[in-house]
Amino acid sequence: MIVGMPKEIKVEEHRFAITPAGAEILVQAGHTVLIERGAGAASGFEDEIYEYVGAKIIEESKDIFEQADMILRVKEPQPSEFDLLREGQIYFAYLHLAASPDVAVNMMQRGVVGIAYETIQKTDGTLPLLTPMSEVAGRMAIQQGAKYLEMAQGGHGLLLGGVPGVDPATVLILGGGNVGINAAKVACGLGAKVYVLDTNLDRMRYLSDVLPRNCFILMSKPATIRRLLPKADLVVGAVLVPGGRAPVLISEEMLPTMKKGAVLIDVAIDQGGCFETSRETTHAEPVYIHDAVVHYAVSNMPGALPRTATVALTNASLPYVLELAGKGWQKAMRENPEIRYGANVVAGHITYKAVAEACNLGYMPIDSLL
Amino acid sequence: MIVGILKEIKSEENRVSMTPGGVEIMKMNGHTVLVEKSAGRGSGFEDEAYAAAGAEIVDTPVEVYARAEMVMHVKEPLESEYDLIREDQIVFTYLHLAAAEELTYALIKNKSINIAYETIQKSDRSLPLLTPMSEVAGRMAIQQGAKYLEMAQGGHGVLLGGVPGVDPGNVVVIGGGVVGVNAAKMACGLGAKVYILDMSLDRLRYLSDVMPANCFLLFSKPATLRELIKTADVVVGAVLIPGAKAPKLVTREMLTTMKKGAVLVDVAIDQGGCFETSKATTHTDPIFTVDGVVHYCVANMPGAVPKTSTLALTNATLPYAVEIANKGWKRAMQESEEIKLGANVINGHVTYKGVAEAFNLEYVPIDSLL
Repeated sequence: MIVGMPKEIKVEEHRFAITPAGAEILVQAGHTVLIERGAGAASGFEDEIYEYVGAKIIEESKDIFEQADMILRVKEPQPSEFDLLREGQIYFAYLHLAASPDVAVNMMQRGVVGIAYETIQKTDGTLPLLTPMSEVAGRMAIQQGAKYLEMAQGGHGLLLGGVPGVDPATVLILGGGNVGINAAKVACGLGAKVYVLDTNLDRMRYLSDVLPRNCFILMSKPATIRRLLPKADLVVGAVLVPGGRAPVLISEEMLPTMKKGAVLIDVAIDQGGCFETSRETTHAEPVYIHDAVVHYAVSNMPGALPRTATVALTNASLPYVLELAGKGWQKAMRENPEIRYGANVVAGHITYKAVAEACNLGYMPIDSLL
Repeated sequence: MIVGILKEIKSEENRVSMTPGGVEIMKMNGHTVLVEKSAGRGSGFEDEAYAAAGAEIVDTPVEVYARAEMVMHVKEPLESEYDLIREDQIVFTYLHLAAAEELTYALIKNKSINIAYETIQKSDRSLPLLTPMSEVAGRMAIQQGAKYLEMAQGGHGVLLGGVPGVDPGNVVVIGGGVVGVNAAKMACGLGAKVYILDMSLDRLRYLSDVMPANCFLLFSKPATLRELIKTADVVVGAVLIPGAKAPKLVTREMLTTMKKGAVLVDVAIDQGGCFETSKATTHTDPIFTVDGVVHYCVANMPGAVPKTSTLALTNATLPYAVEIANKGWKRAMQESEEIKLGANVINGHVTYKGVAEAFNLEYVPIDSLL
């Protein structure tokens, strides 16, 4: 199969869909790999390395769209690329179609096979292509919190870990999933007093086994949040309801009970955010202040750390890429239910229920197309 | 004794020289404490808290200088204060006179008693009033490194801790003193691969006992540094030679061997810095780039986290302040070798050798004045 990787063109997206190591494995499996010139540079991978492992460097993305059987990307196609999409072509990337009906309709009309990283699902319900980015975002969340607690950045001037003789900061993490546990590890490593709130007792038992002693695991209840909020210096919103909107756990009314200069990091902003006062920001302008509380709500956190994020993402995506390229999408979906969950747009139909509902489009179960 | 706490007026300085908790202890020792209006605000202490602890809130620095027998500051007096300082008045603060000629002459002229935080020294040669700020700066150094590794900040986009399946960042800490060990603790806590270079084998042995397994201790040699710096993502300059300029350990030439987008954090910038290309920066404009390498060289790092820094500093200064207030400066110096080493300019005489040598002034041993 011909697999093509055009450069990312979405704003602030520095990641890339494949590393040279991944390209090498694809080439060895007998596929042709097309890489747009300069596409891996921000992630630290120069064209020469891709050429060395047997990929072809292509000058213009339109030639890649024209030749490739499968487009491998980080982000969804942008409007300038809609006309380049071809019937029967696989487009494998983060699509987030429920939030972009326009992209959904265009992919439908052009007969593209749109497979979304974010809906590929394992039998245990986990989302293997979201996990690595949640890990990056969770770890980053604490770094951001530490930064914005500095006075020059709007915070109230506290060092997360304290120093001998001085209290460390109190960090409140809402949600003990992948984002939450990674945020907790880093906050604990810096020496803060860390609270993780979750509603799943089994998960809480696991967290209690693996996290260090400066991490306290509590059952999430509104009363608990209300009690901890006035003490918190940093709050990380890390609640994900798969496919749905994040629940609003901190209302505008609760902000005045917080310390002035405390920091909220809303990692759930992609799903609408878990603080009522959150609104999406960018890496160029990451924070704003509401009721004297610093809000950080960058929707694409891992995009700032492409060297780490590209490798993490492609470690997870490559096995699926290989399977799709080796078998073609139909056979891959028939044989692997994980990939079948990824089917979002196939042969002019929306095949993922939540997307169909969100965009008010007809839903066609994928099984009827295989 | 009447003790006066002044508001800091140097730019970007939000610390304060005494907390309400310290005022309470001064009162218990029978002293009167004057606190300049809003002196503690930047550190989160309101006037009401000082008043509740028994302090008298005073409107102007003029009144504090006019009434107090001992004034306390964090930073050295600025020009507007030179004429307010009175003969025989004790000034207890960071002075750094060897780098401040004009101030030295002003303090000689007004015949005050100037005791410098930074030269108070214990019998084991440690500097108890520099230690807490070194702890803060060391811990902050890693937070800064993590921040400036982000692509939007000029870094090359590496997450210090990595994620499962992806390499963490390499952190090289030059110097295993208080700054170095605190930086290393934070970097290790984030999950980075950490190297500490030091020249004292005894110190290296101690560090090897107390640091976690992701910290590697190496004997500092130019060849070792030359090799390590090529793979480093963050380099922390943490070398202090008491009273002397920091050695330039990373030359301009060596920069070219580093990764583009790596970050240097020069904690030794107060002493001239340990990278040849360092020049002092501020919290409002903290970084610059040379040869693609981001330089962070803020001269007053702890000033950004005043809540933590004020508590850390005053935990250390208070016992000395109480002793000086209880006994008067002469008896305090007669009975405490540590305080005696703090004497810098006494009644018009320069009593600290390094300061006398810096400006070619006559050195008068403090013992001859006691």
